[in-house]
Amino acid sequence: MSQAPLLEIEDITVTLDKATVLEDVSIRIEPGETVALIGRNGAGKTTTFRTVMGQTSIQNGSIRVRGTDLTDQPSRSRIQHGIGFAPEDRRLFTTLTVEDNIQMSTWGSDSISDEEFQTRREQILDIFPEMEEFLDRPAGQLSGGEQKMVTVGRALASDPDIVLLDEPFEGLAPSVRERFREGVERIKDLGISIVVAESNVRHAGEIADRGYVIERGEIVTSIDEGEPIVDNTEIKRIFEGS
Amino acid sequence: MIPETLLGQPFVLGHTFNGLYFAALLFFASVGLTLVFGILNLLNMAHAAFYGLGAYIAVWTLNNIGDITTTMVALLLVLVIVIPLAVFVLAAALDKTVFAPLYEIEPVYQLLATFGVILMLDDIIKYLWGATPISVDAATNPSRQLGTIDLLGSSVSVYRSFVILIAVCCAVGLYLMFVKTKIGKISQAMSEDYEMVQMLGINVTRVRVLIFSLSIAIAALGGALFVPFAVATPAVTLEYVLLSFAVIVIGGLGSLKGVVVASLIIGMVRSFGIAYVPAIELAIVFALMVVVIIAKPEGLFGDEGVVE
Repeated sequence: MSQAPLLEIEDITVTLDKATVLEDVSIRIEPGETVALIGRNGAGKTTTFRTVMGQTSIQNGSIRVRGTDLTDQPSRSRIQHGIGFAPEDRRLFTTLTVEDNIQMSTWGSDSISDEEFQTRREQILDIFPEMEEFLDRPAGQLSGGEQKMVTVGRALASDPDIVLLDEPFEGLAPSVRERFREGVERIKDLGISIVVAESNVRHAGEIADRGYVIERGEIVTSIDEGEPIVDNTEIKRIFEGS
Repeated sequence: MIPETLLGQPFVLGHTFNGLYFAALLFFASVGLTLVFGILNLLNMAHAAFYGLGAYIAVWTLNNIGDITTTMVALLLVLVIVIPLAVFVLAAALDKTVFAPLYEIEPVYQLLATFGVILMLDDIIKYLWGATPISVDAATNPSRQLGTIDLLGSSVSVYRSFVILIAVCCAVGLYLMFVKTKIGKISQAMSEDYEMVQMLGINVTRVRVLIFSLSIAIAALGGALFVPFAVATPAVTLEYVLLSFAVIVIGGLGSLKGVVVASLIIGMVRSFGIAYVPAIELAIVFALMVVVIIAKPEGLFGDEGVVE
């Protein structure tokens, strides 16, 4: 009998203000995979992530983690089932310190002690050593790139099996972007699955093993492992109009 | 011309002290209103009505406790611990029933709905205790028993000093809770991004009930502390509903510092207003509120965080 996927989104349909924003979206993620969700702005990438995190009302379909159905469970249950989320717009708590921002993702669970958090903190600082310098600063005082690091650090603090990274490279200077790509590689080395939402095909091609292409709320094609992402015909049609 | 007696040092000292006492009461009545709005995004017009409820519960409790105890410590513990705790439990039940649906609606509808709660509470109070003013019996009245002391030629109420001290402890305690404890930091985070806090696995409903109940309990504490020095009447509720709105408008919605500063300003304006221009002391307070709305619509500290 085959093992259930780590994350399985099956035939999800979401309607917001009477408009269908996701239609029959299905995505499977296996342990240790890095999968790109590629699409133009407004294609439905962020809505897919928000739906996985329990922030939209689902009309049809289901979300399962290792076979456990989370569809009707409250949003806070996602992190307890091993899903971390780094939103595109960072959404840090600007008046709190970086350390508090990161640690907060462990406060919802009684099972994570402050000592255990220290281990995870070391792991996060191992990936982004730069963060050591600004752990005590309010998150609102950081640069955009630093805030992105904290967002990813916060997603990792709960010891997830899978992290959803929404446009992690957007708005970063080339040098910071390269540093960030190295960080993502380190996360992959830890065996954590990654789903990365990307509107930049080249960035997606650099880090993902395989991908899904989303357009107007529907998955229009999937790209298997080993297939080139940048040269995919459907991607060329969407992004280059050819 | 202001009479000479109204400029003397004892006079000024006495009214400064009274100003601090008014400020303490305003702080109790308003701080929860601003926290509930700042953290939970609920504009609860009925908030200060719980100040009135606290006053009535305190009169009833003190007037019925005489057979059990008349010791000062016990009486003060009833006012500072027992009554707020009882109202905390009541508020938790109300949050889950009456107030829960209100968090999802627009502020203007929140105002209308919570105005309805004021009317309900007002009628419940009249049903339980009648419409005529009631006061605490002398035997169990801590204000009367504690008497006064002389401070630089001015007679100062020991009980009022106690109320000011409790308000200072409450303000410092709230500040420390917000900056030092997990629940306080989560509350600060909820004031910025409620949804993100949910996605970090926090049970926001539990935090919401706690903040709401704590806020209401502080209002009831204010009412309970107020009544040994005054009488409980249905008008108390309305007066503090209006004054607490003046406090949060001047201080800025959602700011702890704003409530402290605005309570001090209004407390002093009222105290010296009563001394110099008693006929228009409340008019001065609300004129000040209008000036702030025009000059700085977000209030003195409304654009800062809960504890910035």
